[in-house]
Amino acid sequence: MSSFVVYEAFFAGLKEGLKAGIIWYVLASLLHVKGMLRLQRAFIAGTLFSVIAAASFLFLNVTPEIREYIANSGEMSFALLLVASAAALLNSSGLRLFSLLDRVSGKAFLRNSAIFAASAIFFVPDISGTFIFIKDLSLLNERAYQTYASLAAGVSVSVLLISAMSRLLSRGLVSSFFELPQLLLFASMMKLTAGGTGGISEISLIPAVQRGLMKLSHDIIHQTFVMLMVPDHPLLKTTTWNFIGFFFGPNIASWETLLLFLLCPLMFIYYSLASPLPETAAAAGAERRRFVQSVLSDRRRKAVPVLLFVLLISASWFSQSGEKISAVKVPKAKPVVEDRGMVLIPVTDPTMDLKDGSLHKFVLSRSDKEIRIMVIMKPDGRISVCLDACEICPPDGYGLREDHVVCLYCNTPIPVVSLGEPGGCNPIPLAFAADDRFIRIAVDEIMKKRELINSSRSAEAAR
Amino acid sequence: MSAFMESRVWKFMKRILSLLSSPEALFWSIGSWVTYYTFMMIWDKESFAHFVNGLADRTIMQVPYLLFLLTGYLNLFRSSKKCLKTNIWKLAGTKLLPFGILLVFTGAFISISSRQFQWINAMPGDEIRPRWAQEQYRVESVDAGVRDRLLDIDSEGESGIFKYEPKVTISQSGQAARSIGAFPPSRVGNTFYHVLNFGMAPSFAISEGGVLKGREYVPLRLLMPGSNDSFEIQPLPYKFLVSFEPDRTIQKGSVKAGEYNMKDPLLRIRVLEGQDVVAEEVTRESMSFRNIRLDVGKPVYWVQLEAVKDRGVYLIVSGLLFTCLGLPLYVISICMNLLRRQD
Amino acid sequence: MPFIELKNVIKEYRNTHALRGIDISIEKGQWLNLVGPSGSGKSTLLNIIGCLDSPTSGGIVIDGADISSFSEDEMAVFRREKTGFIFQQSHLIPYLSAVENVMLSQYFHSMADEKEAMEALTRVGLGHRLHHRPSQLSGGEQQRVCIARALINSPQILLADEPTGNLDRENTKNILELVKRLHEEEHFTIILVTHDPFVAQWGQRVLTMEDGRIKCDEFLCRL
Repeated sequence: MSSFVVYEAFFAGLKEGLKAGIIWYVLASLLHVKGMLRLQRAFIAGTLFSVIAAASFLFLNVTPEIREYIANSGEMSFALLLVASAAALLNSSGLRLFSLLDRVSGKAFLRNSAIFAASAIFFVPDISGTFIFIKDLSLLNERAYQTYASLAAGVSVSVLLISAMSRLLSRGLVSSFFELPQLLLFASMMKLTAGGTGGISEISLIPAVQRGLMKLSHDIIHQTFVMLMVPDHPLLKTTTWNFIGFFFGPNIASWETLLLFLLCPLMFIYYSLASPLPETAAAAGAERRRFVQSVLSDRRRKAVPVLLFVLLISASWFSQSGEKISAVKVPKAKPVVEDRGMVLIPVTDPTMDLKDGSLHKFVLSRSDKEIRIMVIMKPDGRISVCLDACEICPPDGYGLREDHVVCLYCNTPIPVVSLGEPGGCNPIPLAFAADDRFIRIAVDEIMKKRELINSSRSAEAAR
Repeated sequence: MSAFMESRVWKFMKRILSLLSSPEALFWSIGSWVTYYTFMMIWDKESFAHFVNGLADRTIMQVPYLLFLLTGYLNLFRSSKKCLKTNIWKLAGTKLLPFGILLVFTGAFISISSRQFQWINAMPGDEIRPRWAQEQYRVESVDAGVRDRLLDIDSEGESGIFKYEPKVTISQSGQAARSIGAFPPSRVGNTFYHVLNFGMAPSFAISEGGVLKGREYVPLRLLMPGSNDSFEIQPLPYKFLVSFEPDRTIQKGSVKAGEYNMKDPLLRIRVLEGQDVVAEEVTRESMSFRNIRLDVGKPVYWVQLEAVKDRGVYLIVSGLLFTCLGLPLYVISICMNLLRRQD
Repeated sequence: MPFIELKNVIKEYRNTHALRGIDISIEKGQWLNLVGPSGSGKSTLLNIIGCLDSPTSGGIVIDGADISSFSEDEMAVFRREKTGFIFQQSHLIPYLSAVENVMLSQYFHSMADEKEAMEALTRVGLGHRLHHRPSQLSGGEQQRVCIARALINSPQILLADEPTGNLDRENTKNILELVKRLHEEEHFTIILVTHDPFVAQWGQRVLTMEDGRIKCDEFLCRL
């Protein structure tokens, strides 16, 4: 156990140190060429502030809500960074999106503040998450100091690696590839691939981004077809719903979401290749060629980090989603009985533990009908109890894939954390009472909610 | 003075129009929506539903959305002006796609904010009228399209029990009858109808102590072998569980299957009082228990129609068509542009 | 300030003194011919001015830049930007056409432009031979390609080492007339090495060298 803790702590320190170091070096190279090297102090100050602010979590009691808040902050900072990089890429492609900002960007105070704030927004969630992770790891180790020493060792190694890198790569060479948009995109790429704070196995944010985008893709397609009034007939299986499921199945949806994600970088690359050349005083001859060559060469260099982003994300997208397409686990439903109008499900028994985080199914037989119920404990520690069916699809039920329940009819992944929300493809939630021993569900509640299966009725009720 | 004011107002309007028709305004608009959506997705885990519900009835979301549509159309118009005069093919190649997308967004807004729908259960002879419609229609017939004879293994295959897709015939006095199926929806007046659900409605007549208490078709979720449903007749304390029963069992080799008569089905009726079974009989005519007699008649089919009034549907469909047409043209125009630059 | 200035330039190869203290000033746009017997140091001087070689000692300033202290990379950049070369042997790439040979020079300078290369060849009278390989061109035509190749990047200095050495009198005259026309149009500085007195009479100045030293510096009067 202690060697595992040491490796994880070392890796965490190495990862955060490399992130900060690489971004600092690229930023410093860019500022050096522009003669604004002093601004790097704002970045360093922002990073140090992040470390100090994050270190407070080592001494605070970290509740699940705080963990969730920090995880959400990390994802939010990535999203903001990506939106900013997309805006900057579009701005450098000819759209004057920031003409207002240009008027004020000359002020040194504002520049310093912007860099300070950006680095704090970037690093605070990551470093906070890492410190909390380290704190958790230290509890697993008899000698807690080893964990912190490993963290420090990881940071030290990253400093050495950055020093070596700075000797091998000249600032001039690095800055020839980067302007502000490329820097922001590069930083977002680092965040995406190394923004996770759950150790080696959860290093990247790609799964979270994929989930969000696939849900978006599903919701848009679903909503479009709802607006087109395509019915889902209980018996006619050759209806359009089967084809709709094709559009947000894991294969097609992966491509759709990847294209959506890469839209801005691809637009920028296209613009780099296809946009007209700026005017030059030299109409012809060597001078004109020299000018054209320098413009094209500059555009190609500036496109390299963007291309790198596209290639890396594409490779990571499918390598990670390949694991996602792996088997959906569908547990067998255990029979339950009703007792004086209530269904009682034990929280633990010799064969199961409802708090183990996996999906549990139960079946209630009533009047020759079988009604399936599913129970799962969400990552925040709360139990969710739902019918094993939704309002839209035929009640084929759900299975569990990683941290999603997946509708077995239409392949829609629903994040486990969102269970309990009614409507759409979400499993129909059931009101229940729980204590340490049993989960209690009223049979009337089950029968009432059963009417919603394959009926889309709560949408009408909401309207 | 008024000329001055007019020109000042006009200048102001021109500036606003120029701002709204700029690509920057469009991208700021899209960027704001993306940021909002991402924020909600991360913190609330359910963003699209908020977005749709907000668009339906919250002005604070409708106004920015309309502004987004306005900037989109103005940008499209501005960028199309040149092509309109010079090169119509370039216009088709590059503008059809964004035009289609804008139409879809516009149709979506109209649909979300003004759509009305209602589920109507009906049997032959019933009058149906959605709450917004002036006209009333009579349900002439419900044709389930179910085969007359079924084996219970038929229901395991896809569409194995149907001869053809179910349809409902409705009519208005003085007008020709209209047929409504499952898909696509049929437009009748200003309303779209389609079949959402249907089932069998056996005819039951109940007599107590020899006195007829009532006779009606009871819509049940009965459609194919294996299905069952229940009903109650107030104020009687009984619950009637109904399921199909095969006329006979056929065996071929090791395969055994029950054969069902779907035109005049044999029903198993179980009568419950509380949890106790009071009576049970397999019949297509009648059953008696205590002082109650239940006569069974030939069934009809009931149907659940979804009636929708949605002005946005045509825009959405047109937009999707333009988008499907415009996408390959757009890709071709990009490739041709790149080739031209290489030359 | 002269465009090219050499001060006490010495070049020694082991025991051989190729140049023994050369002092010259050359104005911008001047056509200078270097004449002298074989082994007098003409080609050595040409190579040093053209940054193909570096002096053992002495200072060379060209267009304000002291090239005597240049590194190899700096000399390569200087050669690329400032100079064009024509040699006695044409050194054209045999498997490339005339226009491709010219485009090759463009490519190493900045980027290839076929249209410009074709215009350059047309200027030197080879508009009808654009896509011919060197083996399909006469000696004079090959030298014309070399001239186009040397001038395509608008150099400030054209260095020619016996450019007409392999040509007959007729072709020599044609080539020199072409060079003269281009010189009058574009005003680049020419340093031409020859042992042919006929060739030496073209241009504005003749520097006679012997045994690594300048023997005579003569300005030619032109009416």
